[in-house]
This record gives sequence, structure tokens and C-alpha cells, in this order.
Amino acid sequence: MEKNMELAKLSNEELLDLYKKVDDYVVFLDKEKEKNLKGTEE
Amino acid sequence: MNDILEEMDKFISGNKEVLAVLPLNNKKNKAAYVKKVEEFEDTALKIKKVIWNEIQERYDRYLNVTQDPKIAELEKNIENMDNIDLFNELNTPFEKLGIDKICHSLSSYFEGDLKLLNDNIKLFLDIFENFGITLTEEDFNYSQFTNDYMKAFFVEKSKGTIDSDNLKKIFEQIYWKCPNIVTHIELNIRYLYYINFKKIDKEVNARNDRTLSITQLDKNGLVKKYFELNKDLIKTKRKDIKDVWDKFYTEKWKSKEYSEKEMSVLYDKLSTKKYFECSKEEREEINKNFGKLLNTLEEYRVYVRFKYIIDDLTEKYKAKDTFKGSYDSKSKELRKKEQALLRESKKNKTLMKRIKNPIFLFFKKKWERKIYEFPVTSNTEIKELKKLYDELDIEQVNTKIAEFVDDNCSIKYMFKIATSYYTYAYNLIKEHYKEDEIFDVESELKVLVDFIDQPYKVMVNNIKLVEEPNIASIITNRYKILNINIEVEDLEEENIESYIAGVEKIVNYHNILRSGINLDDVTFVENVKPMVEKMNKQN
Repeated sequence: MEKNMELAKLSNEELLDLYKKVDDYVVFLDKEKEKNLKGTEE
Repeated sequence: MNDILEEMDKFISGNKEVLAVLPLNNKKNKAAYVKKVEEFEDTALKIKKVIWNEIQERYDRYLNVTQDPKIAELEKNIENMDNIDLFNELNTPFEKLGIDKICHSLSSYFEGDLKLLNDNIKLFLDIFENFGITLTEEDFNYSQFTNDYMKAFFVEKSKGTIDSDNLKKIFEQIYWKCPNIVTHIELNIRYLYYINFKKIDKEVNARNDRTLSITQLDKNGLVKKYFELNKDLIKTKRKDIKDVWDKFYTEKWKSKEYSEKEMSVLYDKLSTKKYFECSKEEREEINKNFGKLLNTLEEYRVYVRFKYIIDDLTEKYKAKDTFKGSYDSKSKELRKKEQALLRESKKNKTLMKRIKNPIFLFFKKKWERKIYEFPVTSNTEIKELKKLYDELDIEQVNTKIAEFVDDNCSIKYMFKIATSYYTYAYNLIKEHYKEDEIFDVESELKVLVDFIDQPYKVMVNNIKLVEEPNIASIITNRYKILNINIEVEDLEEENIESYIAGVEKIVNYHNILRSGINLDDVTFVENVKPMVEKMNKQN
């Protein structure tokens, strides 16, 4: 996906929105990983 | 919504759906789930990096603006005209060269600040040197103490060590014998200026002639050029993209405060016209008038701040007939006493030499007494001379008022008289703020001097002393005609600052537009700046 993004076309506001979406997503994934890592520990 | 944003939403929700259906009922499934999460996270971080790069690239690009080269050029041209003060017709070389300031600093000497004393003596010697007069210890004969100190001073000066402990020690030794040593030095400086006045004055005139010849201008043309350059500098700076960016970057201004909605409310409040419904030409005209109004209000603000100076000068002006001849008579009295003191001082020096000679043994006792008493009597005379010099400073301002001031003088001219005489202006400000012990008189005086030096002085340039009581009405009437909502009450003490803030904001807005800056880019930088700072901290 990162290769197909034409970011230059985005307005400043849209670019920051996009960044926020991905950032929130990364935070979500981080939490998921942390939560479920506990279940895999010995 | 933009395609990329939509795609991103789909991408994220698709991945979340994948995760949602993965079983988590045992350790093995959980491990597989974590693996999938890590796989997604790896991709997400790559995407995040790509987006951040674009953000960083835009952020750097927006901030990578350079100052208009015209600004540096104008600043250089103005700097090259730094001898403009030599053309001031209201004062003498004593003030033009800053010797008045040196004497004032020595007058205000307080115990222990030897650096101030030495720096000022050095400054004085440098000024004289610059005018082709090399002074030596022999020139400092106002009293034996002065001579003793200056002998040591010149030795240290030749070594470049005027801050040395040795000089400090010598000063302390002299100080115990003569606590008025600094006054002695100050008066010696004044005397040296007096006896060299003709030479210095001639050189000032020669330098001025050279300046006029090089620039091929007359005096008025030169002063006009100086103010034109300053005007051009202010104008260029105001709309300079780098300057405007710096205001936002340093958070002095905020983009949301300059939104069209905010500005529309402000224009409607301060202008009788609907700004955003006006043509481009009409808008230009409105903004031009607000620019003029801001200059006038800033002038008015300075005028109110220093009105007590105008009041003092006006009082003096009313009594100007009583000043006639007083400067000359005071000056004569001072010179007579000073000459008498210097004659006595010379005699005393001769006695000190002769007393060592055995052939004068018969007079030894008598002379010893004279030599012993001389410092005390000369010190009393020096104190009287100091008083006369201070009175003469006051008489000089009085004389200039009698010579130059009448009802048709502008307010600016009055301020110019005040700032042409450092000691007068300094003492007046000090007196005005006498209740405030820590008040910074020097900075306050600088505000007035800078104001006199700045080129936008339409109001104080035109309003005459006789019109002074009506200044607020003159301003409001003038700008009402130009479709600006302004009342005399807006200029009252409790309202003026908020009124000026509104006008200033309109002028800033106009300059932002003229600079070519995009407010959307500014908002972007404002949002990204804390993110960049956070990242820089983490790294």
C-alpha cells in the first residue's frame, strides 16, 4: 500500500488526517499485541 | 473524502476484520494472532514512515524561506549613515559625540563600579583620538588626584589592562584621600572638551561637508534619504515572507486568529465598509488607511507616554524670556572659577617641586601648610564647579528653547530637543518615575530616541504645540473621514491598548496576504511543530 500512495495530491489537512489514522491503527495493533502476548507466555 | 483516505480506511478495517475472525481460544492460536498483528504492524509502520516523510518534507519546505536580500542591503545603507547625528542642529559636539553621556555616567558613579569609570574614561579618550586629539596624563591636571589616577590609567591602557587589580588598588588609595575623585575626573573631561571645542567643532563640520560631498546631497536631502531608507526597511520587513513566518513559528501570531471569519468580524467592527464585499482596489485602500492609523496610534501612544516631557518643555518655553543671557553669565562665572582653581593647582605643583630644594628651607614650614591645605580647599572649589556645570547643562536646554521654540513648533521638534540633550531627558524621566526605585531610565529613554529616529511620524510632525490639547479629536476626525470607526473614547487610557491591538491585527493580516504566505501552510506547521519537537527529543 505504501508504494501506491500519491501523497503529494493530498492537502495538508488530509495528509495529517491520514497520518493520524495510521498512527491510531499502530496504537491499536500495539495494544492487541500486548494484550495477547500475555496469553502466549509460559 | 480523498481516495487515499478512503483506501486507508478500507485497508485498516479490512485488516481489523481479519484479526477479528482469528481464534484466540488457546496458546497456539494466540501466538498465531500475535504473529499476524506483528505482520500488520510492520506494514503499518512502513506506511506511517512514508507519510511522515511527506509531512517532514512539507514542513521543511514551508520553513525554508529566505529573507528578502533587500533588507540586508537597506540595513547596510542605514548603518553607513550612522554619522547622521552629527547633523543635529539642536545640540553641540558635546552631545553629538556622546561626551554628555560619559559625564552623566560619571556623575551617577556609585561606589565600587570601577569598570564603569574606566570604560567611560577609555571611551572619552577614544573619541578624542578619533578627532585627532591624543591626550596624555599631562592633560589631566584638574587636581593632583586626577593626575595620579590618570598616570596609572595610561600605564594600564597601554598594556590593555584597564580592569587590572593594580589600577583598582591605586583607585582605592586615592579614593580614601579624595572620595570625590570621580567628580574631579568628570570635570577634567568637561574642561578638556572646553579647551578643544573649536578643533572638534571644526572637524565635525569638515566631516559633515565630506558626507554631503560624497552623497551629493544637501543636509535636508541627507536627512530625507535617511528616513526614506528607514521607511523602505520597515515596509520591506513587514511583508517579508521570512519575517511573517518567524512570527508564526515563534508563536507570536496564531493562524486561527487570522482566519477569514475572525477577520471579517474585526473589519466590520473597525471599518464602516464591508471589507470582504469590497473590490480588490477598495480593500487596498481600506488596508492602506489602517496602516496609516496604526502609525498614528503608535505615535499617539508614545506622545501620551512622554507627555510630561512636552509639559516640562512648554513650562520652560513660557518662561523663556527669563533665560536670556543666563547661560552666558553662568558660563563666565564657571570659567572664572575654573581658571582660578587651575592656577592654584599649578602653583601648588610648583611648590611641591620647590619644597624639595634646600635653598627654600626658610619657606618650608609655610609651604608645607599650604600644600597640606590645598586638597581640601581645591576639593571645595571643585564641588562648587560641579554645581555650576550641572546648572550650565540646564541653562543650555533653556537657551535652546528660547532660541528655537515658539507656538508653531511641532510636537516632534519638542521631543527632538529633549533627546538632543541626554542629561536633561534622563533626569526628567528619572524624576517622573522617582517612586519606582528599580525603574530602567535608560531603556525608557531609548524608547523615545528610537521613536524620534523612526520615519513614520506624521502626527507629531504636523501637530503644533498650540494644538496639543486637541490631539485626540484631531486623530479621530481625520480617520472618520477615511471610513474608520474611531471615537475619542477609544484613545482613552483604558481603551487605547485594545483598540490598537485590533488595528494592528488588521495591518498584520494585510501583511500576511502581501507576503504571499498561505495560512493553510501555517496551520500545518503549527500542528506538525510539536510532533517534530517530540521526535527530536526522542532521538
